[in-house]
Amino acid sequence: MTTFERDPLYQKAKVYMARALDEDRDDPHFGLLCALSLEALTRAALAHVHPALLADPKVDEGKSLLHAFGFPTERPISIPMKAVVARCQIVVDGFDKSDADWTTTIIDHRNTELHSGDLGFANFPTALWLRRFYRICSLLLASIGENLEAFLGPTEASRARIMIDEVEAAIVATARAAVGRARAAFEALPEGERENRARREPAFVLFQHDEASTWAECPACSSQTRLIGTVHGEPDRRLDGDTLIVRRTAVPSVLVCHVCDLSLSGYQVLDAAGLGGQFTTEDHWDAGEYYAELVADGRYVEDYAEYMNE
Amino acid sequence: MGLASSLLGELGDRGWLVAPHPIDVPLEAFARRLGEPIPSRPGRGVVDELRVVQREHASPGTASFVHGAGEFPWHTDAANWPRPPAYLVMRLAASSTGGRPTLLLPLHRIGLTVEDGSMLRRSVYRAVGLRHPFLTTLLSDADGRPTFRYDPDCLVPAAPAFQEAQEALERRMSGGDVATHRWQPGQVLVLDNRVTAHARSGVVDATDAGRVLERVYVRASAE
Repeated sequence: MTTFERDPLYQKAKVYMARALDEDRDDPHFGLLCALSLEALTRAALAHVHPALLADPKVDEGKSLLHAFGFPTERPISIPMKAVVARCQIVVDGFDKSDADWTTTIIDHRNTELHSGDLGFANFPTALWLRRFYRICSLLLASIGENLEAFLGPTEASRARIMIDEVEAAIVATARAAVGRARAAFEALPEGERENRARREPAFVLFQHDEASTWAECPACSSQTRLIGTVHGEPDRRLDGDTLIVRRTAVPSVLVCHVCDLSLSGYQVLDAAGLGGQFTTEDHWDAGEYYAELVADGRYVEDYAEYMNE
Repeated sequence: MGLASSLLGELGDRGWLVAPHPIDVPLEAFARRLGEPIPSRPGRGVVDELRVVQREHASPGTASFVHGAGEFPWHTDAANWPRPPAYLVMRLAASSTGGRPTLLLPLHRIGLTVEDGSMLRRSVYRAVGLRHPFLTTLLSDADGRPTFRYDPDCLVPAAPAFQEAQEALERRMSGGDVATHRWQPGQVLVLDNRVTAHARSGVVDATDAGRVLERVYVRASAE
C-alpha cells in the first residue's frame, strides 16, 4: 500500500469528520477538523483516479512518482493543496472554479490556524461555509463512489442534504429567474440603446466601513460591473512610507448592474448566479487622510491604538 | 487440483467446512487447493504450530500473551494485516494429545440489518500492533464480496463515534448460531476468514493443554 492510495485517505477523511461532528458547530475546532477532512477527501479523489496524481514530480528527481507506482522509496512527497484543488477541477465532475476557490478558502483558514498565532476559524461562522463545504464533499464523494451517508452517518447526512438540496433549489430558481428577466429585457432593447448603456459608468456609491467592491461580470449581459461585498474580520493594514495599504476580504452581498439593471441581493443568490466565494481588495491611502476619515466615523481611537501596537 | 466446486460452494455459503485429509500428507498440500499459502510471520514457513500456552510463557504481542491458556475471544485472524488471509486451514497435529474444541461463528449469518452493514462499512478503526498502523473498517466489500475484520485486541475505533459499530456487531454476534468443532485426526477445518469468526473454547478436560494444531494461512487464488 502506498502513501497516496485512495482508501487510507478516505478513511482519514472520515475520522476527521467524525471528530468534527463531536464538536459544537460554533467551536473553532469544528472548522479546523472539517478542513483537515476536506484536504484528505480532495486527495482521495485524485488517488481514486491514480495515486500518481498526488506525487510531487519535482522533489528528489521525482522519486515520489516511483512510490506512487509501488516502488519502495523513503519519505514520498505529495503535491501542495493548490495543485490538488486545481486537479480536482479537472477530474471531479461538477467541481468548478467557484468550488475550487471555496476549498482554497477553507484550507487558507486551516493554514492560518496551524501556521500562525491567529485563530483561523474564530470569525468564520458556519453560516458562511458549511453548506458549501457539504456540497463540495458530496461532489468529491460521488467521484470516489461514496456518498454523504457513508461519510457523515445518516443523521448528519440528512441535515447536510437539507442544507444543500432544499436551499439550493429555491435559490437557484430565484437567481435564474432574475438573470433571465434582466437578460430578456436587455436583449429586447434597440441595439443603439444597448450600446449607450454599455458606455455608462457605474454609479458612485458611498460604502459603509464594512463594505468593499470589486469588478465582476454580469451574468445577464456579460458587462463588467461592480460587485459589492460585506467585509468580515478586521482589515489588514500596513504602512509603506506615508502610504497606508489596506487589504479587506469581503463576501459578495449585492450586485446592481449599471448596464442591464440586473439586481441580485444576498450571498446565496449571488452564489447561485456564479458570483459567490470571497474577494479581497487592496487600497492605498494617504495615512493622514485615512485616519481623518476614521475620526469622522468615530472609530479613530480604537484603530489608532491598533496601529500604534503594530 | 483445486477444491471441488461443491466444497467451495459449502465454504462460501456456511463460512467453514470440514474435509478429510490424510494424516501423513502435509497440510500445505490441502491449502494449495484453495490458493497460495502464505507465512504468518516473515521468514517462517507456511505451517504454524499452535499450542496452548500459559500467559507467563507466551511471547509479547500474541493472543496467548493477552488471554493465556483460557478462552480466546471471538476474532478473525490477522485482522490488523492490510490483506488478511482469505482462508485458514487447520488440523490436529500428529503430536497433539488433546482436542479443545474451536467455536465458529459465520458473521454473514448473524442477522445484520442494512443499517448495521452501513455502520460497519462507515466506521473507521485503527489497526494496531504492527510497525505501520493503518485505518480500516470492520466490514468492507473487497472484490465484490463482504469481508469482515474483527479483533478488539488489534482494531480500535479511530474516533469515539465509531465504537458503536463494534458494539452493534457484538450484539448480533451474541445471538448468532455458534458451531462447535471437535477436532479429529484425519480431518481439516477450513475457515473463510473473511466471514467467519472463531474462538477457542474454555477448558473442557485435562487433556486440553496438550492440544496442538497445525495452521496454514491461504491467500485466495483470485486475489
